[in-house]
Amino acid sequence: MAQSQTIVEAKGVRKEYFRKGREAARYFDAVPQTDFVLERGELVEVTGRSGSGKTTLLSMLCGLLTPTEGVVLVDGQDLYALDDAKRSALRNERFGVIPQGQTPLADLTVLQNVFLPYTMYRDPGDVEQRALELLAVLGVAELSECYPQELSGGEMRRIAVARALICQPDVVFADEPTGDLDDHNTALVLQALRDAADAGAAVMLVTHEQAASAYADRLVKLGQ
Amino acid sequence: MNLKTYPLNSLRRHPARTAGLCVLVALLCSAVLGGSLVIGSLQNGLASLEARMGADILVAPKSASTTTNLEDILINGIPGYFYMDKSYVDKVAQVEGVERVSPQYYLASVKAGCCSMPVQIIGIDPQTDFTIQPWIDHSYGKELQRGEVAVGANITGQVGSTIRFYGRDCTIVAKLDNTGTALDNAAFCDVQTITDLIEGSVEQGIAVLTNNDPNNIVSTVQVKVDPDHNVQDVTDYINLHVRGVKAVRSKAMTTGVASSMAGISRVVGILVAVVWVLAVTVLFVALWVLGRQRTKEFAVLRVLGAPSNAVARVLVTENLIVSAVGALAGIAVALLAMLGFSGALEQALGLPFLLPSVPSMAIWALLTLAMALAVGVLTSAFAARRIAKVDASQILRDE
Repeated sequence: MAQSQTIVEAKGVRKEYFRKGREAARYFDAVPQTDFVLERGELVEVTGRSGSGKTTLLSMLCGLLTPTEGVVLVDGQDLYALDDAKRSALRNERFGVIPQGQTPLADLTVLQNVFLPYTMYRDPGDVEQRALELLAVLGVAELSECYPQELSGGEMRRIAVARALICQPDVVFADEPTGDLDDHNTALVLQALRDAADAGAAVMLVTHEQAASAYADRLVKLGQ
Repeated sequence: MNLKTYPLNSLRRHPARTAGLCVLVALLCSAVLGGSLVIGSLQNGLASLEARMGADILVAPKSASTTTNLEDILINGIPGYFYMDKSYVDKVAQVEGVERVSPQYYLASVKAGCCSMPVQIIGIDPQTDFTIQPWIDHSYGKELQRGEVAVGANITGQVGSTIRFYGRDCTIVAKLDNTGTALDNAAFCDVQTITDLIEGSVEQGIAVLTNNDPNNIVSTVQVKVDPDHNVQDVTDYINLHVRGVKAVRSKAMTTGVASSMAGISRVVGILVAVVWVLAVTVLFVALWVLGRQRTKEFAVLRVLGAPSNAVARVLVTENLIVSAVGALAGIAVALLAMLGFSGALEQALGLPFLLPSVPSMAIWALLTLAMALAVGVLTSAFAARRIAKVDASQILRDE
């Protein structure tokens, strides 16, 4: 296992939402006040019942959702003190995010989907070759010229994983990355995440997948 | 593939959607440019007519039921003639406030063996004329000689060829610039030539002269009023003190035309405004709906690290491309239609109709393009603003 070193730290983050009820408007905490740490080279499995705030916490940690309270530090830098442009650039350069559901962009080929995050801020260089290698690791290299409409749910999930890893991120945020996959492909994806952690990345894996614990360094249960 | 090429790729991947939006913009632009050119051509035609009328006052024989006949000849393009004694030129010239006078002579050719075609023939005195001669100067640069004619733009016949009126051959020495008025269907000559032609028509029993002497008649007297005098006062004076003639202000003759033009321009303007409002509304709604449909796509771009303004720029760029392509197509359609059918339009409207110059049309086209781009940016700005504020985490969780 890689040596631990804090890269992302959430201090007292809380997310409150406003919900219009039938009788009266009211606020509720999607994530109650929470501290959370991600360290380099570790894969942290985050579990919890539905509605426990796993995805909300992940969104706050990756810079997509401003916490109601608390701070998110990335190498000591307050993530939400940055303006949108800088925070977005940081997300692209240092984070790889695998959102829930099917998220490939419909107008791009599989290959273009995978390398788009890289070319947003960088010259393409040999990124196509690296994208093909990643697709091969995840068992979908032969689909590189296909469009997402031609793919199964599981294939799309693996493309989202490849896309998150293309920039060789310091932190990977994976939200239910094995949701539509069979055992074989689940193992492929979890191994890819494990490999990223072994290469030095911090990986936050939100999942209900039983098999994930075998790949995780640490387990965090929310809602307890 | 990067964020800069993403909009073009997106447009290519949805040809029907792209074509639909382009057609909308093209419709908007062709309506705006076409309508503007129609209105501009009518205004140009009126200005051209007023320039050709040139004189402040037209004096014609009272017996010619002046305004009707003059309007027929000068505005409606119906060939005709009427005459009065030449002495009226001097009588009118002596009226206080009259700065310049020049006679004109009208003769209508007929569709018969004696004439090549039925046209209005107008004789002028190049020495004194101040309405037609400047126009002839522009195309010919010399004074017309006996036996020579300058023809309007709509008359068939090349320079150097001959045209036959009442058994006399005339050489076409110039083809005049298009004016968009009835004068484009007329032939112009000097006093000696028109006298010869009137004699020829008399010989053939067609023109009827009041005193039987073609050398001693005129059709109208064109009057330029001294700037220190009031045109209406001079007109009234001539009508009161010079017997046997009727003086008409040129403006009175063009007022009817101007009024018709104002009516048509108003209708065209309203139609353009209706098309404009409809097209902009449809465009706005279409982009808003498309923006909503693409919320998840834009949320994914945000997740991948695109800042909110870059995501908004994707939509605005797509719309700018669509607007530019649609505008160019619409401009091309409008220009081709106007160039191809301006003659038919002139006939259908029955009003002076003169297309603006090429530089003017180019400026109109550029303004239309700029307007289309502005509409494209503005209509997408609302959707883009909404997208820029999108909560990517919420949208992706809702999927």
